[in-house]
Amino acid sequence: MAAISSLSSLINLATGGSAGAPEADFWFKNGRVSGTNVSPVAGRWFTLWNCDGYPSGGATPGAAAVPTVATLGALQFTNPAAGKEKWLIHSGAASNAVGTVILYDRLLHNGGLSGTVTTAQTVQGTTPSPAITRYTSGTGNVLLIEIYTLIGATATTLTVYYTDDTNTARTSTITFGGTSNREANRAQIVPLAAGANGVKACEKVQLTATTGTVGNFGVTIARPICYMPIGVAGAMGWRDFTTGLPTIPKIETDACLSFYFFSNGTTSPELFGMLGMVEA
Amino acid sequence: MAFTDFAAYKTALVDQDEEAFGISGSAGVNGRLNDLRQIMTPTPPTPTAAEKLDITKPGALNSRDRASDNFFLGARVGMASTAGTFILYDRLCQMGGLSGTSTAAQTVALPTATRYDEKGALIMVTIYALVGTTATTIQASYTDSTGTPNQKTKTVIFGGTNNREATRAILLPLADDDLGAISVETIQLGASTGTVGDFGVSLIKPIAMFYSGSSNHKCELDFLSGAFLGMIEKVEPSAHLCLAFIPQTSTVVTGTGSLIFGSA
Repeated sequence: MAAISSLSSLINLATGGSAGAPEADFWFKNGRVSGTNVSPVAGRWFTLWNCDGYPSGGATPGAAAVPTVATLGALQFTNPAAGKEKWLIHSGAASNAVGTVILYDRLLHNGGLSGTVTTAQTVQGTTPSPAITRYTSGTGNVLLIEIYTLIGATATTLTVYYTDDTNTARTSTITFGGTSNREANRAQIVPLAAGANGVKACEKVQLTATTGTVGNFGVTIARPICYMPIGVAGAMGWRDFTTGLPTIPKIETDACLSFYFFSNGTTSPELFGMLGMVEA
Repeated sequence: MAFTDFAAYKTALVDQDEEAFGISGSAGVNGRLNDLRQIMTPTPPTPTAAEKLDITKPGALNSRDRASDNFFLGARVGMASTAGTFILYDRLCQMGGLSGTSTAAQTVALPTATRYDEKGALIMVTIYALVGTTATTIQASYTDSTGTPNQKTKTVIFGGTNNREATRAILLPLADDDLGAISVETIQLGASTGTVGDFGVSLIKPIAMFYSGSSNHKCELDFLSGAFLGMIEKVEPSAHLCLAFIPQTSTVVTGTGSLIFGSA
């Protein structure tokens, strides 16, 4: 394994030299799930995981699982050859809707949780099963609640029990249910407890009261990779890691790459984008 | 052959092996994908019968075969009327003459595409003449990249504001787990849009994206300039290169530019 040593090295790799295996992975996503329109909540995170497009929308998860590049819904890229590493050179997208696209590696997800059950609902359990297999130190990983089917109109509190990057058991709470926190495809970031710098596992979640509707939601552990702000409809938001910060990100073998959209408005997005990668 | 280093890449860039293009016409709908092919100058005929496309067919932005050791290096773009995002793509095959009122399956019968391995080849619907104001759905039946026929795309909205205008292009999501399409058999609307219009279907393989950030300003973009996405992509010798555009405003688009090619 070797880092990209210079601009000349990058040019060489990007044109197929030194077994650089350059790939340009184009993708598009519509604000539709299996042919049914879904719209974001203004100023809130919206999951594109299950949205129609290329790649196909992912299925609603069931029991906790570690998704990979082979999982339906993951952006398709080629794993690096033995002894090589994959590097993201640039990434960008354009859309009819203004907002920020977040590329991330989906480390663990589950679904099938209920918006009416007030007892504890298991995610990975007390001995995490399955455990995450990428970014296993936990540092920099984030915890999200994703709503797959509308939950209830009553706002309540959801307590999330998790293990942070120092193997410390933690809890955090979010407002859950009610307007802006109940809609299908809404994703809510769980603020970590003071002193926690990431997440290794999520044991369980528990509602304080019913939201009024069962719906379907789940927990996702994600590793953000880059943010692409789209300031104007039609404008391309992009990150060029050759000429701009941060440094060139590594893409883990078997990464389950997907996107969130942090939307300025309620317009159902139509996104077209691309990732460029090389191996070194 | 790969570029050995930055100096070789720069030499190829300054050699200025370019293909010029012009654009003049309505770019359809702002913030959405539009197919510029029918407003390029000179303008190729509007597609009718299904045909396979290559460098020899009207409408290709690349006019000569540069053989197999040929890279797309960048673009110069000067847009007089709107900023926006360009997508350079290889158009593999196409047809037109479909109706915005027919609700029966309309035969497309695109010839099987043969460039690339068709992984990543997408199905694009292009509107050539305004269809109706009634929003409905559209779905294609196609053969996937493994050769499985009669796969069904997911439905998308077709007709109605933002999905009816000439040059508007709509990508159809493939069936779960499909990685590309090599042919399209039929197209079917969920209901009439209210106007016959004219639309068609093509298979496309995206090659690069680049952003012209302001009108009345000429951008020069390459792999190292930012605002350019795509690797230093090798172009198939027989490619039929075209442009799609996601404009920032709905307006009559006029502009000129060129695509820059080079070899190591």
